[in-house]
Amino acid sequence: MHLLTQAERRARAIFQQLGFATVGGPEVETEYYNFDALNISADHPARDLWDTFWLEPRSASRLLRTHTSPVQIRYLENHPPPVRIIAPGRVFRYEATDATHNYQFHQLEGLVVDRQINLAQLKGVVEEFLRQFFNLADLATRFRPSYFPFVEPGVEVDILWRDKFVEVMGAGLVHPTVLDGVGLDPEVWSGFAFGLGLDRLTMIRHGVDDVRYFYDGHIGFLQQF
Amino acid sequence: MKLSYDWLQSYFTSPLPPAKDLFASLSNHSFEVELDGEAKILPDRSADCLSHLGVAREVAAVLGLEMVAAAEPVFKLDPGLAAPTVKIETLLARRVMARQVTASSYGMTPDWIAQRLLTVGGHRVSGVVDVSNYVMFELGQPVHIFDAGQIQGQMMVRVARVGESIELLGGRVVKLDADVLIIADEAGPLDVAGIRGGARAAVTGASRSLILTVCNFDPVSIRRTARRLDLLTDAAKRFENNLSPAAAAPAMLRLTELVLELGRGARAGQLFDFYPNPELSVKINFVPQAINQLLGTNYTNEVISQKLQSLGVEVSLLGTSWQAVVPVWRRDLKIWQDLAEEVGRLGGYDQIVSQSLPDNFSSVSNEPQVVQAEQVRLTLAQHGFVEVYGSSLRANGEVKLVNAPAVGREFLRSNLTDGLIETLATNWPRRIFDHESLKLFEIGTVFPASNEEKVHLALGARTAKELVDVLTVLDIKASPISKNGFFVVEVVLTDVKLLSAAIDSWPEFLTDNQYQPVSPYPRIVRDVSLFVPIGTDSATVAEKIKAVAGPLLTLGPFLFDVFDRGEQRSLAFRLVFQSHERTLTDAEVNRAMSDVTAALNSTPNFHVRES
Repeated sequence: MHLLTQAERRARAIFQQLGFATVGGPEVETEYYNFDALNISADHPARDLWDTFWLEPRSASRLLRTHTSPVQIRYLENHPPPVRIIAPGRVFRYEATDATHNYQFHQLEGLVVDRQINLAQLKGVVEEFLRQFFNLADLATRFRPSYFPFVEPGVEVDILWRDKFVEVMGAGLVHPTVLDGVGLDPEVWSGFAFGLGLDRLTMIRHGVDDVRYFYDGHIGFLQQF
Repeated sequence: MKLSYDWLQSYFTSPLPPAKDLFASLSNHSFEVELDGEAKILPDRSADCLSHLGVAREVAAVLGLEMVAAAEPVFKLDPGLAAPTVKIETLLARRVMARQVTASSYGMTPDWIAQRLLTVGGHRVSGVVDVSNYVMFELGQPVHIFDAGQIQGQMMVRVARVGESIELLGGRVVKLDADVLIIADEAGPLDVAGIRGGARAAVTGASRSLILTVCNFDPVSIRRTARRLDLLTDAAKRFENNLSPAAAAPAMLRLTELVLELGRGARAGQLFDFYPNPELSVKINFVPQAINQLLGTNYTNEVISQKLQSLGVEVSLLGTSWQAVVPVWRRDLKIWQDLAEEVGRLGGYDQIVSQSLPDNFSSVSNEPQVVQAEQVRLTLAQHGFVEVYGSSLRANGEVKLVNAPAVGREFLRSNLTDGLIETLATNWPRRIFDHESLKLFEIGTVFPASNEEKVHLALGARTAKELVDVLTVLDIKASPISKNGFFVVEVVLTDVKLLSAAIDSWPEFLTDNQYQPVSPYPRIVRDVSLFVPIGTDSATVAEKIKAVAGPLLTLGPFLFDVFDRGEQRSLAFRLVFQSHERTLTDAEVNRAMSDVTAALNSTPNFHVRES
């Protein structure tokens, strides 16, 4: 199997032990699910954080999802909490391609909504996942403040890899506006969400120095794993 | 934004930690700052931290330092120099401040300002222009200075008229329309408001009388105009992030002070200040215990109050309810969860003790499509198929992109077959043995029609025969189609019915293999065959070959033929030579093969067969 499939399966197995079910979502999204419902309104400068592929006709406001986060909304619309899911999948960014950027890559979204969910639990789950994924019991992680409109507080997570901190995911507690938007009372329910870059994690774990190898289909690469 | 360490130091009497440690503290508690001082200010903090004053406030809060009290600008106003009047004809102007300054001439940029501008990457233009840029980098408030001598009649802030255009600073001429907010006089546009000044009333060496303006505009209007005119300026960046109109007043004081210092015999006039709806302080009621609950911490009320106060938030206890009054510059603090973030990040996320989720999720059921893809992948892998991930964007399809990333990537793929055939074709010459099979598959999303999105499975090989077995196992009725010398089957994944439900969904096998570079240069394949005594371990022979073949041997030796003749056994190995730096020559490979032959022949009872 493709190295990214193997990595995704490993991630799913780890999260399954922690009670997370795997769900999917469409790659073509509406502006509503990709942005508005995630508290990223049309004229907000935060839109610039996601370079977007739009589909013809532009007036229809359909796009290639820029992240797996729309699955949060789609799932919460149809499933009452408590919720504990992951959603791996392909995402797209309109940006220049090089060894560390590609117009298509894979994310794995995580979402927990329950009563009294807190940041300490987010830390616990993320650390447990990373330790198991890298198979390193003493893997050092670092949580730094960051900003994603659909979480509050928002953090970025680094791992200490070969003496350097490298960023591996964004995360945070689900923003009350997002909960409110799917009809959940933020004073009753809280949650955390994270989105990790599966290509990036796999590149780090296996020393792959160019993200494009995953999509070139070269058997000399694919059969190494 | 680039930060200047010395500039930040100027806000404190006690010495700051070394730059490396200071920037690391900011990265851990505020926002990412690189070693060279480049700060990644995201939209939540763009209203206050695209300025050295804003970052200095963060430094004070993060390090628990006291800031030097800012000296009130001291200057005298000339009562004889009336305030300019600006006619405001739009609701998109939230605040407009203007003041006239006159002088017989204006001097050069003071060294300390020039130095600071240099370290933050600002351009030096002239004394007057430099101090106006400086004020923006210091306070985060864009300002603009006009040459009063070039202004004709009444100044106004209005939307442009269809057909109007403006020559900008730098010479570019842009067409305007009714969505563009401008500053104008009776002769026409002077300035694309909040974004870029115009050439007509620009300050020059001959300017004597100046109009200093400090304004605040509707952030959405600024953002739309900046985007449409492709003028993503420093000023637009600050305004589009909803800079507080309250920030205009201190910036006007500072700008007046600095321009007066430049001017010979300078006089400053009365102030025009249009500010119809002064902003009210944001007040947030909060419960300290709720903040602790959200973070998973046990901070005392005092600690929570103290952390918020260190950011300029006023905290008070009203009966049993706590109230936070947010300072005007913190546009991002609106709800109590925002306050929780401030407490959490200042306390440090490393101080939050990790917890587990409650163990109340015993049964986990994945979506059927997830399970199905899993089983199909396992089945195909067991039958020797290699999984590929193709491009979702192709030259043909039914759904077109507005903005394609490259030629040949204009459409969403409508099938997997086209990509799979290409991958089969490019990999075909990469096989080492002629009889070697090449069997590939992909599971991926396709877009066969405008509103249709499906997950497909495609599998392909050189011959239809190689596909038959696995098609039977997967109960796929479709027949392989032939295209460009390969056979491919493509079906909707959910149409695949598995005969064997016994496949375990979750066997673990994430490899630990580390990536070995794949050379882009062609390879040279050579065989060697030899007689050895029966009973000789072929692996030992392979090791011996590997030991002498040299560094250009990239694959093999592969044992591909064995037969016995009397007491002797014939072994045949295939070797693959390749360089990561260049195309190999036959001569180089011949030398390596001579070494192999010599080493084998020098082993007792080994005889290389002449080919």
